[in-house]
Amino acid sequence: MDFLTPLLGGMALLGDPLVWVAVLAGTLFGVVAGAMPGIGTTLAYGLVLPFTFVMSPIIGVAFLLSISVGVGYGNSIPAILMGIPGNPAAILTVIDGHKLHKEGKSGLALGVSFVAALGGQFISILLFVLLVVPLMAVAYHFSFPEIFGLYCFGFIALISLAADNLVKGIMSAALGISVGLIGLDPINMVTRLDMGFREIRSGFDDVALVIGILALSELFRSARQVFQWQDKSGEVSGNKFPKWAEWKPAVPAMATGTIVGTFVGAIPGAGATPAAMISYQTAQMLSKEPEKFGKGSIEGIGANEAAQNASNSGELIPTLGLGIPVSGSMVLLLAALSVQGFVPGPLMVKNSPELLFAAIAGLLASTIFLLLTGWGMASLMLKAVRLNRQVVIVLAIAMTLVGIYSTNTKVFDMFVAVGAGGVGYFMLRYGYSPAAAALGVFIGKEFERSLRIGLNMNENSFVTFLSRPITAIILLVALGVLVWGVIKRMQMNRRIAARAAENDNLVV
Amino acid sequence: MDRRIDVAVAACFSLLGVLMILAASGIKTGMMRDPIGPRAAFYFCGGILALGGLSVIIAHLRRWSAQKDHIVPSEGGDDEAGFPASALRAWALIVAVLGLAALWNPLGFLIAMPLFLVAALWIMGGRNVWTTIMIALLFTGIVYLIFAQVLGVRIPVGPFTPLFRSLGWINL
Repeated sequence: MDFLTPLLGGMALLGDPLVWVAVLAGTLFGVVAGAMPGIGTTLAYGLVLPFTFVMSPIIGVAFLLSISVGVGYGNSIPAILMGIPGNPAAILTVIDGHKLHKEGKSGLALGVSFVAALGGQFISILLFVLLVVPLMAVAYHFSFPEIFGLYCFGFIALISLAADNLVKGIMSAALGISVGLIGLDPINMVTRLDMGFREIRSGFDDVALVIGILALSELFRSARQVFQWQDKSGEVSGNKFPKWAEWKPAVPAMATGTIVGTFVGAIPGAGATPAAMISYQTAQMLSKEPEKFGKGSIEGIGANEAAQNASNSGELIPTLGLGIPVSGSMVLLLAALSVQGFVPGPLMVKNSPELLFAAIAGLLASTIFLLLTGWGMASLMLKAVRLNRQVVIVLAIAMTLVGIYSTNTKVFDMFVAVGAGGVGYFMLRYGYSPAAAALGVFIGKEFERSLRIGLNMNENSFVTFLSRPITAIILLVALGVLVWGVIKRMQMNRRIAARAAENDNLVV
Repeated sequence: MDRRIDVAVAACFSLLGVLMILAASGIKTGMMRDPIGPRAAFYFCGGILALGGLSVIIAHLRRWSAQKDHIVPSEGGDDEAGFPASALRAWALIVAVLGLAALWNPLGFLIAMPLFLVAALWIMGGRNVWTTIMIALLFTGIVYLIFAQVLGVRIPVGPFTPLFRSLGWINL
């Protein structure tokens, strides 16, 4: 497959009216969800996942990815106008954007955010295609040892997703892996740790577990407090789109954000927040006016917003190219595809290129849709923030449970999800990473399977197994990324702490 | 966060790890042999949970006397500043959700879901009875129409089953 084939395939899908219907619904939902604090891409995916089971895989993928684009844009409006970050990645937008809003330059902040989000998204789609095609080309050379190497790469995400406490992060991953391994042994097909329960002889349902850990846990945690989002006021009236001369200085920062966002997004466990942080830092280093960062810099907004949206495409590179999910939302994307009968792995997109085309179509169509309507959506997003928070939480829980039941029409799955949500609640509260646990559930069993079957195929010799050239290269790269990731994580934690201190001062 | 609860959570993880190792020792090895075996992954994960939990407990205990207050800097998701938080509310909601799952088949979706929504909204501070009932009934009706009638999901309707069957709305 050459570079143009996926692009042309994606554009060809744009001729299907159903794709557009799914994309419009997904983008609108994503924008509204993104505007609500605490509802990020993962939770938004969790809420609508059951709807994808009745869609064709192409429509489902396009629908989910349009939600990512909508969330990436949606969280910027309340961040700028109300000082409320929809998710952690939007914290930097709050610092510079809300400052500009207070200075009466809301239009400039919103305009830069709009251009950066859509520009970053569009360019990153091209970068995504450029990087995913070579990955697919080598996928045919992969056997079990190489796939094991890839899952080792995926395990880096588990470590990178660890919160402040690395020990707790690794424990979270271990918990997820062990729960995911309950059921049939891949070699002997004997049951493992089913404790005599007939329902789990073949293991827990991945979708119920993952949605419980990622989505219900966050909703349960949110239920601890009763308040309304609109306590801070925001206005959008009278804001005009800024002139080219006004936002031109932010263009280099947007370009930096797009490139950094795509590449950082592709690193297992990184995602939108580190992408935004690193882009912001890089743009500040390259800026002619670094002193303005944190005090109402349009370059800061541009870099941050472009990186957040570009990371959507970046996350898809290992997810579709290698079948390794690198974030909570990508775990849910692959879960949706698993329900449709696809087997996540390096050959998934090679055998079903229409999934790649659908991803491109979803990203492209939602970007075009937002280009045409996004500027006028600011009022809609502010209305979303004014919805009753408590009602939203309760209805979201109800919707999630209906979705889990719909997957297999089994009440047992609902209990599994609620149990996972309860455990996830404690994990969230006490610094264990639910995202690492969810990723562990998803990749643990494939990791073990590829290792054990791979060893069987290589005379049960670890030396023969690990010395296969591609396996050895992947493992070395994984080790390098792990070391780099740990260093960057430490640097980012320091930056987050510094930014949080600055943000506190700003709010006060 | 309260370090006493953090220690308790770590102790639970540690205990889970030990139990996992014990349970894994009873897994049948099967006919096909490989260097890893069906137990190894559970031994490894159980070991991480047991030792990791222990290390979290020890780290807390070593610092215990240095600080009198049990509230320590949070390592997890903090509550929003300025608004009182209640763990009891979250757990009451979890119990309500379990109740919904338990009543799902016996009462059916059309009865269990509105009951859950009214209870959950009350737990979350909703005291306007008519608004709460309207939200519960509207949401239940719309979701049932979408999932059962449009998407074709077989959602149980409890005592309404004979009526819906006679109307041809369900084929259970």
